Amino acid sequence: MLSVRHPKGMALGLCLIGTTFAGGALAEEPYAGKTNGVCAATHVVACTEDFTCMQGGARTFDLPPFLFIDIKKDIIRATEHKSEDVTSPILNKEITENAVILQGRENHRGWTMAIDRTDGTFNLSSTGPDMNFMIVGNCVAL
Amino acid sequence: MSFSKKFIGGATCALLLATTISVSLPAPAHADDAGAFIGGVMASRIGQNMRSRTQAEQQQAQAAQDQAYYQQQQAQQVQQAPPPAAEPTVEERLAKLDKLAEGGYITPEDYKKKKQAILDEI
Repeated sequence: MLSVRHPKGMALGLCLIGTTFAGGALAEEPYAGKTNGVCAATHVVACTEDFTCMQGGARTFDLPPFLFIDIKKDIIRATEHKSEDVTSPILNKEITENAVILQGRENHRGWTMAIDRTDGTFNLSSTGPDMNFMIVGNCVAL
Repeated sequence: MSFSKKFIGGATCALLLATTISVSLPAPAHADDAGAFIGGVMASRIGQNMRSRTQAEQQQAQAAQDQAYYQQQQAQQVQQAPPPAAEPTVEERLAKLDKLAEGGYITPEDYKKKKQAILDEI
């Protein structure tokens, strides 16, 4: 047998099998923050500074339904027509055991997007002096 | 070289150096927020939507309030309006005619004509 005659070959084989299984397990993660991804916004909640809140779907607020995460360029942009010029730079990126956390700021507003690595759900919150909003949805790797 | 020439030369050099540094340094990625997505387009659309929805709700509430006020006013007018006068009966009309004749308000001829007219209606 190979394992008896070539212990190194057996070790290599086991390593390959292990890597394959591990790769399979990792591939099951909807989004791990290593590659580009696309996220679908399903629900939006927005509140003004006087706690007047409204909620609805992305279409209700006339928002683009999809967000594209370009992890190599460190930007997030809409996938709608002519969205190439409209981007959000990712200023901070953290990949924890359970989540991919992206952060940025624009127009005196800060935003944080946390993507659950286990199920791909995301929560994007943006806070500013006049109004705060939260978007939830799902992400997948591309 | 005089002091003023040295000063001008130094100032020119400093200006050139500052210009060179400012041009060569890359601008921060978020310096121009014109093309901002999350904090720009998204926030703007959500804000506009909230304002328009709030305005629409306020207009709707005002319209409902106006409608309620109008209905209330109508109800009050209906309550305050006197009940429509009932049509006088033949007896009442004849009695009134008799009173007018007795009071001398109508001539005997008019009395007869009017009485006949009332009786003809029966």
